[in-house]
Amino acid sequence: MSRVIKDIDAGLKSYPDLQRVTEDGYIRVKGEISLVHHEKGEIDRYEVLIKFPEAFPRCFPKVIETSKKIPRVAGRHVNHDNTLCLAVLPEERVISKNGMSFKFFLDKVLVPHLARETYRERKGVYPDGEYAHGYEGLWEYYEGTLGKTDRTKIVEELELIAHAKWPGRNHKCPCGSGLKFKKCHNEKWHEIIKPGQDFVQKTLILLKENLHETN
Amino acid sequence: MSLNKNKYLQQVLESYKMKHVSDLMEKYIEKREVVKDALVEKFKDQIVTGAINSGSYAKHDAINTKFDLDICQPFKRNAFYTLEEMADAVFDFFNEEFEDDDLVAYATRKQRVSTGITFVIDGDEIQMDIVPGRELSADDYVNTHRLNLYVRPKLLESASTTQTNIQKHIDLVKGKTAEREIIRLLKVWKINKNKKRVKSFFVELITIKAFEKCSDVPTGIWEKLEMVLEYIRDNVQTIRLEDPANSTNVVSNTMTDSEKENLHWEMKQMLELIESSDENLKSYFPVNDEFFEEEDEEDKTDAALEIARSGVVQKPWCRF
Repeated sequence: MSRVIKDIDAGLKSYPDLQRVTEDGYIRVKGEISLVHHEKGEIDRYEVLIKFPEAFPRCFPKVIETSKKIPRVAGRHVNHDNTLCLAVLPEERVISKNGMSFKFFLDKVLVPHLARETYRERKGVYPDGEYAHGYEGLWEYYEGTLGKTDRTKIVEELELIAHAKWPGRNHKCPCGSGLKFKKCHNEKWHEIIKPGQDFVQKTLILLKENLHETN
Repeated sequence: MSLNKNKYLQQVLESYKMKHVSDLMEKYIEKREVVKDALVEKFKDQIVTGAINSGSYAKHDAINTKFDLDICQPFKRNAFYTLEEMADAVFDFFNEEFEDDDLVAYATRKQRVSTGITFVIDGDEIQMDIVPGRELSADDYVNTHRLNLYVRPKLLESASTTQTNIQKHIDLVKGKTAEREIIRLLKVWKINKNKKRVKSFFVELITIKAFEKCSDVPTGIWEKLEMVLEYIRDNVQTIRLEDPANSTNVVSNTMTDSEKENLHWEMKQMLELIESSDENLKSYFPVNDEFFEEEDEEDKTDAALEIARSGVVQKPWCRF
């Protein structure tokens, strides 16, 4: 735990309005995050409470936006438990599976996320789109990464990625295109497997259940 | 097209930010440091620590058309025989020290709990109040931050003393971003409508109370402001607001019953007029024209976009 505390304290050096506190025996970070642009100065400010799950730094901390500037309405990305929805699961897994520093999380995940919310508030849309809530968002992620919309076919392909022996780079691609694997699906499969084989296998089970329920 | 009240109020807040007067502030802060250093040099054996910043700037709820850079000087318990002696010693010192200072307008003033100095820099006046306070008991200040102040007599009221805790006043609004936004908006209203009898401390306390009493604080800035205005309308005549640093100081008593009744009717009228036309919001909460730049909002949105795209995640997603 002391290593985590050191890491948290190191991250807080760049965020003077945040402080580490202990509440009910748990380490938390609370205070304000100022979104500062190098030329335009402060753009916006949010008040947050950050909690650290046991798996941290191999998962994202949970963030509650306590200033309630982000409306708690459908279409805004705040979970029922008031935590912010920071990334779709496979992305979160890729970013955090090898551990990450708290500073990295603040600089590269949370601050950009809050800036995205500021943009959304002013423009009415998220700058680079958004994933639908729940399973739909997961499907969208795999549809986008694999470049197909037929969900049965997505499941079939995920089965191959997660369980089958992959073809060699110079072997024919299993999709039937006639191209070598390296010229066809190699890159997409590597993208899908990035969060780890066990993660893809577990996600596949969930998606299959969801497909079964919705069909 | 109807007014987007939330966007408009953000523009109001933006136009009253202290950053717009940062050059001026630097000069004043420099002057404040001169005042603090002078206190240390003059009273070095009698003070507990250097003077601490108080006032709206220290609380981060100042607006750029009216703010003060007040300081409070904590003295040791045994520094003076009486609190009156302490207050007079500080006044006498500054009266003499700044007698020939080109930047000081008017004579240094004895005020109720402070010594007032008005500096003029580049044609702008700023008021600095120096509040002397004495520890309640020896070496007590470091742990409690409590101080006794001397309250000078005024018409029909004799001199008295009061207890305060500047740190508690600063901590009161610390971390309360949403409350501070509403406090700053109410200050905009107060200054523009010349509501001198509605004290800033009263505004701070009643706003914080309104948030505390609201079980489901709304998200938009207009909705939050409306919630506070309604709270003031409904409670100003009966509410008891105590200074959190001193429960015997009943801040709500700084207004008379008729002043409270007036405030009730003003809130009622304001809410009704805004309800009848969004445009009326502008007359109660005008932007500071001097620093209002419409395109600035667009710039900021672009800046937000740049920050958003500096991350490693592109799209948000919800589990449920």
